[in-house]
Amino acid sequence: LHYIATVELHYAVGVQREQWYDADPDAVWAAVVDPDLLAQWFGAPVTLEPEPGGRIRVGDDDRVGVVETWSPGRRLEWTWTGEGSDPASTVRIVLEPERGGTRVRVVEVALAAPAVYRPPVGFRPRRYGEPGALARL
Amino acid sequence: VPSPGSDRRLDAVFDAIADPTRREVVERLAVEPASASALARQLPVSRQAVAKHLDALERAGLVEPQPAGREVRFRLTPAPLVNVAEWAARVGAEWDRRLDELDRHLKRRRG
Repeated sequence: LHYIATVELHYAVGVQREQWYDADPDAVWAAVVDPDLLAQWFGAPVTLEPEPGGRIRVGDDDRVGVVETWSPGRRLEWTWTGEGSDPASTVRIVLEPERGGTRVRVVEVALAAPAVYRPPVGFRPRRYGEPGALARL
Repeated sequence: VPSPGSDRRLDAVFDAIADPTRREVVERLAVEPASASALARQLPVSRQAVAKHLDALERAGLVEPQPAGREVRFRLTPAPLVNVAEWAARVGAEWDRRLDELDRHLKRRRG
């Protein structure tokens, strides 16, 4: 847990969006992983292997990523490897029940050159930018 | 259309500003150019550490060394930060669109 928090604070360049939907988390989850919606989202057919370590592929490997978290009804997270035209980034979609519906929060954080950063022993990151914006998730 | 070269540069910029000390260096150089020694006096890190951070910032195109008498001062050249802002604006707009599409998708399914 400490390691994950450290990575999040270290790579703090990202965007966050959220929206409330009048549907329960299971219905929202089903929509988010629906191949039709994913194809619309990314402009090409998407294959998504439903487990941590699974692959996500857009079109003819236009974009390739690795599923980090697969938690139906709650949280989906993957990392784009950054091959092709975009920098590596992590996408996190978090679903929370709220007012009889679901609040969806999306965070996409750009990763610096090393896709996996291992902080040195004893490294204590300082909070910059929007403290807690990522840690909250 | 970004070239592969400009993409590598964007990675270098993300790498450069991901580090809190380097961000502090950027903030200080935004005020006025400074030498590595002057920066080391203001920050809780050694001159050698500052020099390494300045190297990383220079590779990302964010600072430029300028001879000033016997020392070298570093000037902020913030243009590459525009690429970061553009990335964030583009990715943010993409998620705005996707979240709206999710809304339409859910409404269609509900009928």
